[in-house]
Amino acid sequence: MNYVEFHKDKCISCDLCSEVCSLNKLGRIQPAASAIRITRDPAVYFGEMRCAVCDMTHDRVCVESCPVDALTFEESSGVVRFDADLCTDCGACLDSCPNVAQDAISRRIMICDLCDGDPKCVQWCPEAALTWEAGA
Amino acid sequence: MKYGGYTGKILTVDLTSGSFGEMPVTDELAEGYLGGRGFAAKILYDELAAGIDPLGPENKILFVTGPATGTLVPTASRIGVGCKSPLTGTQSVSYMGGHFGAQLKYAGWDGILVSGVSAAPVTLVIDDGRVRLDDATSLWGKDTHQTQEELAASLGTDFQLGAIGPAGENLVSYANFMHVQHAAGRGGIGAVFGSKKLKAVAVRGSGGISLGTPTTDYIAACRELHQIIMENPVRDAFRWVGTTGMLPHVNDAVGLPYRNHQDDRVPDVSGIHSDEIAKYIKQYEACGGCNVICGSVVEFERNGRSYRTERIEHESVWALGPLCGITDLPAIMEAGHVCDLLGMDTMSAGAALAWAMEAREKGLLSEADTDGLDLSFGNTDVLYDALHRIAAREGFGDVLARGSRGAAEAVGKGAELAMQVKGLDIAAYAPRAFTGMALNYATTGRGADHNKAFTVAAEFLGVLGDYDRYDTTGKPGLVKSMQDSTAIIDSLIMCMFTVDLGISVELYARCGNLPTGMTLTADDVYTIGERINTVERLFNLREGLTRQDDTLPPRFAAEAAPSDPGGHTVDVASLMDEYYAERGWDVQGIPTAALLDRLGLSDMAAAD
Repeated sequence: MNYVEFHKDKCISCDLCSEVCSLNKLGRIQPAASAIRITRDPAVYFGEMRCAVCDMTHDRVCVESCPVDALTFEESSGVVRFDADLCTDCGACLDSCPNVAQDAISRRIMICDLCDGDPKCVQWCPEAALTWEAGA
Repeated sequence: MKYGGYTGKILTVDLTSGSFGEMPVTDELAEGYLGGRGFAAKILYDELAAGIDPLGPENKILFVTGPATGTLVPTASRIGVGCKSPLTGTQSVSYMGGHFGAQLKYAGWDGILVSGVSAAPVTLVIDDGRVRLDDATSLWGKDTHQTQEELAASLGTDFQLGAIGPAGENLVSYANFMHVQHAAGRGGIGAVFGSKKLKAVAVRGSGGISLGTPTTDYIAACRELHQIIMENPVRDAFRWVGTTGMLPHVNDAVGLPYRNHQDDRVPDVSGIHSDEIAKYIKQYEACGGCNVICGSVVEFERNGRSYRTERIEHESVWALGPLCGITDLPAIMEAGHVCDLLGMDTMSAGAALAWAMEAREKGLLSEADTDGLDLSFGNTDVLYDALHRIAAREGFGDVLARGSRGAAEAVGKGAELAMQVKGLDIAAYAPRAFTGMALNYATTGRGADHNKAFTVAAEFLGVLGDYDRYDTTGKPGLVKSMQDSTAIIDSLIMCMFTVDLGISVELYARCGNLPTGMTLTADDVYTIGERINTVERLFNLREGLTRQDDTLPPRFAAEAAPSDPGGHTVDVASLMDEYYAERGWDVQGIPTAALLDRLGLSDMAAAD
């Protein structure tokens, strides 16, 4: 399974990834609800960059945490899909994995779906801090 | 409101009563003024009565974003912070990059209007629509980094933060507001925060910005704009050393003011060359939404003190260096960092020191007058102590805390050595070497601000035309048009660097149209820019400024730079009639009724 790889030493904190991801998925620019979110270690002045995005290792804790099958693993594409009609907004998936986010407006659960194989975040990263890697 | 890109409301905060409210952003305001600086021009004009004390309770602080802020439009992360300036007495807006502006919009606010005075120090905390004032007594007295570190620890790391330092608390006339390493730097906004006991602002937003263009088209159009910048050859210069790459070139052109503008060339800049600065860089940093990536983090030591901070920029390295006759890079970088910690503008701090150094050299000040500070040109060791005394207003530091113009007034001599316009100190591009800059310095509303019409692009870099930098032919028109187009950059709000990176006025119109859904043309951009500059002028006229204030220190018309083989001087007074005519202002610099009518401002003039 392919995945988006984050290279922390190359990230320059421009937020273009989360701006374009949220726009592409939600139709509005909303980094807090992006499927990829960039933060920084606050303990040090200009501390290490961190990235929250589904690593596609698929231990699928998010899927397992969901009590109503609103999250399902799609074998054909290898990504987790969300069904808003089934979601009860219980928050279990958010607790299960730090890479899961939620849109505060629509309550939609946001998990990277790799943009059908051409991730916008990777396209937009100006420093190749995000790369498209082939998994096993 | 009907346009995308805006949240449609400005948060109002009354520190006296501790209450909050909303001011709507109307369609009419957006159409007439676009955002950012435009909003500030209109709102400050309406909200601030003539003649108020900048440090009194009647002054207000206005944070303003633009319709492009935080929307994927390249470089549009910036936020403006405006007030009536304690340094100049004019209206003034300073801009800073980083992540604060976009976060404010994600929190649901196009701006913040702060009025009144708090009884005790407070931090304004904006958590989406939940707004509160936290006690900041324990933060008062702390530097800008300590303050932000403690707030990050107590509030959580997903807040974007900004704070004043001791300089703002002590009402230094050029105190600033710092967001991490970014400064809303010039004009003394930090002192207005200090006067209101507003120590810091924290903002976190979970919401989104809706746009006036369909998503797929929007992403494609923004991608094109980012590619224009990425492929521009100038981008590579900014990418690795920020603005500091300019310094040796400007110096070679005899255009880098030295020793308080007594000369325009530094004998040897090898020690402060960008190649030297680059040796200290440890990592690179961008503002939000930006692919230029001009920022970086440096590590260095001086006198046993270790620093990890941002790389110094062109204006700061110059003001704390060559302007004071200093070319010792670690001393300059330390001074720049000290200014950031104390929360004051590096440029006006350097200019105040350089004024004192020339006054000392000319025998107008003795070492006793300066309380034992050896304010001699080239004295690297005086910077650290002098800057701390300014921020604390100790001894002679209290004199220098007033800025070069105010310091000269305080001691009753050396006014002609204060290298400022309207109280704002001249920047690192010598007026005698770039006559467009000279006219811009003389005519910009808040004084000698190089970023209100960076004519160096057209006079030296060959980016926006090919003007002879000494010849004044065509300069009034150039300055006027660049002041107007720059007003739009400051209103969207985008970064000034984009002027040099292939973003034309047509593309600025596009950068406004994409998020808003408006149909602005280049002509519309110029008209809105004219309106903004004219309203800023009306504010200043209401404060009593006149044609006599649109001038430069007498040195530049009277003395050529000794290093300039051409012996050039510049007399901006000779250009003023033509400049005013370009603007549609009368010979006294007052906007004509015909201009006000054309710009839809007749009501504002009638209100005077």
